[in-house]
Amino acid sequence: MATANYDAIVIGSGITGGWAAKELTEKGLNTLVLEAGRSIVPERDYVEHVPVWELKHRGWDDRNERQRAQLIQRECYYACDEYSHQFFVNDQENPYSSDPGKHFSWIRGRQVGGKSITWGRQCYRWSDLDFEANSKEGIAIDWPIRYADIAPWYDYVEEFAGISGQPEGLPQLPDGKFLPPMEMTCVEQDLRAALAKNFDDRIVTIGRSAVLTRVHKGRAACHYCGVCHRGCITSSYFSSLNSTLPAAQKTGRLTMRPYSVVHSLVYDSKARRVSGVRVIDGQTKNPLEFKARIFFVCGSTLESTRILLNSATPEFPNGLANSSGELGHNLMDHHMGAGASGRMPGHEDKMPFGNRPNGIYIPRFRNVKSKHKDFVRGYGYQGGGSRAGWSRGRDMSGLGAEFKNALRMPGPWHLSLGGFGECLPNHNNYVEVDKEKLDAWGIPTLKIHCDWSENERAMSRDIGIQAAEILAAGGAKDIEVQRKMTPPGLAIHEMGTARMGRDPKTSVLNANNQAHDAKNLFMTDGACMVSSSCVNPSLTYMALTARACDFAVSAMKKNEL
Amino acid sequence: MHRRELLRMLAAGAALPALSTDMFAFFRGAHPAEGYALRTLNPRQNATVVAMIDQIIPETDTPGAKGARVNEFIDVILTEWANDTERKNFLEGLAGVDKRSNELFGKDFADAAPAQQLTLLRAMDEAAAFESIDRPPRPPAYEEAGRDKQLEGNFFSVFKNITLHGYYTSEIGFTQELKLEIIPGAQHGCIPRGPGLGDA
Repeated sequence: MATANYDAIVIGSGITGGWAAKELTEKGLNTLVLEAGRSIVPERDYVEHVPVWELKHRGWDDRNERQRAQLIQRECYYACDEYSHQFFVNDQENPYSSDPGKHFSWIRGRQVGGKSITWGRQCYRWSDLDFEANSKEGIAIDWPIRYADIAPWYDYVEEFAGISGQPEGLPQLPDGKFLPPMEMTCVEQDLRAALAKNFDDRIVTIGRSAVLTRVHKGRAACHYCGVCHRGCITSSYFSSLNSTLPAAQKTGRLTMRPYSVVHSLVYDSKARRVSGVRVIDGQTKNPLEFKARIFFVCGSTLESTRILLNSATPEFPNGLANSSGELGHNLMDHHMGAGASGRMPGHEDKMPFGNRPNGIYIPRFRNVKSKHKDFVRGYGYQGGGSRAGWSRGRDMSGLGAEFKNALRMPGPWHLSLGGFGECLPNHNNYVEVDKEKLDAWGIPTLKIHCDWSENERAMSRDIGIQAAEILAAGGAKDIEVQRKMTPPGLAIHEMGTARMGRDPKTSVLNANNQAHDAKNLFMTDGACMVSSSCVNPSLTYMALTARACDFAVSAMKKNEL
Repeated sequence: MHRRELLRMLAAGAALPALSTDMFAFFRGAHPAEGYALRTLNPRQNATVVAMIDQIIPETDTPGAKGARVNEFIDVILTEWANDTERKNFLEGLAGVDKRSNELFGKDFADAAPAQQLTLLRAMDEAAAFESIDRPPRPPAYEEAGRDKQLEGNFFSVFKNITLHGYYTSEIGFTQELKLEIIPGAQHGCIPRGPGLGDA
């Protein structure tokens, strides 16, 4: 069994693993990053500029192969397609189970860069409306931090990542350090004006996106090919592959080990510390072990928790660092699916230009100033407005030269809005390991038990109705309301299962993302979340990771770790 | 401007990995090459397909579906993508076109005069439109609801769908007809419309 020693080991190379690698190496630690999947070579693996006519099925995908190998991953329909299915796991190698009739969509990316290659890039700060909600409503447990604790770290990560956006001065959605905003389309501008006129509680702003609108930190501005999830040869959006990992590499203290499938952590019961990581080599399937002084588990919410659950010891029979019994519990995701779309008359002589990799955002307005009678918390809308293209011809009657010439011109304007709703933490939404069902590397898999509660369902109903009202206020015609909730997991904002908290009896991690039960163990991905807010969580993961690294390294220097 | 030159220009002053000359090689050869040999359509079926796509998207100031070899895309989809039922329905639909053409004009569709072909296709188009009047529009393949369902439904509606898709995702359709750029290089929200989709 091979062994090696490092100052720090980071498990996972996605959004949070990349940040941990950058922060720890820049602070002088020799750091090993263990990534379960393969290396990504941008020149070889990125496909954003491959013309559609070079795809064998022109975007219709190899449906037989996808149904065979990626039946679950392809539920992420915006990205697991003919171009970029290669950035998603093979479902047959990576099984899991969920309860009958309660499907959980577990979308995973195993490669250097993780899901940061294919993420949606929307970046919003949480506010104290989020951090105080559990405490004020008596739900689950209180967050051990407040906005003031994380605000400087939002500044820090935004400054490095580069977030474009428009400051709006809203207390529920704090402004960040923004690069110039992208432009709104004609009908989006109309909607913004209409909401300003008709509502005192809701606004439309351009999406806040980790896409560069000008040269930033040696990375080029976006060239608006518009398909970021296929990669970006100019590194114009933030991913660990484009940004944090190159920074870590530059220190000379990074060792990146792809094909390193983490089995479990080794716990030294005398020292009450984690002493190593058990790895199965992804290619040879040989077992390996790596040792370090501190460990950052950044493998994505459920993979990280799975590692701890698979690391049970006599002291921790139900999973490492699980004296609270909360490990695996309180799984959350945002609920999507509800929304509305409509046709916007006018602006026939105008059109947008460029493929904007971003949409519009309507920040939360429910339970901000007044209480809603049917549910607590709230939701935001993401959406956009543009003109129909040639594909409208498939449902138009006509053929011949006249038909062809009509389709050369852009069609009517449409606006659509889709809600992202907060999900309450619920002890009964949980995961456990299934020792009978092993993955391709012989590692016990997860059984996921998760369903929406009545609060989410009531909120979802409101999302559809309010979306229609907002569109109507904006002048939309032929409004269609969508009501079907997506299964949990499909927002790919899974959170919780190793929550932070002040009390070791009710939480797994402390206010610095450090395990209550093992001082040199940190978890900074979505597993640490105590509630889910309604905004996209990745920016908060980044800030928490940088903050935890700062804490860990200063504690090491004071010999406290 | 060639897209790679444009990329270099865009990245001026920024760290950009050296662009391999093989950058676009990944999918090369996937599109039916010149001299593609049909695998599902027999010569008669192919002749019907070519005549139909040529009427639906004809040559104007740009090449049409025939020039973009949409029949070869259709053959790829029928061979590798369609399931047995979809393939059978499609080929039966094609035979039905010839049958009707023979009833009306005494000739196979491909041999009928252009005006006769147009008359027959317009009738089929209107019937398909009438049939779909109460149906929601067919969702495109990139939307979840439309995925895997592009060959479902009325034969003519399926035929038109695959023809449009094959044409507008061809190099001719994308670059010559729609004048789209893979790398637009800028973003504007609301500007005066030019003469084509990609012209601002």
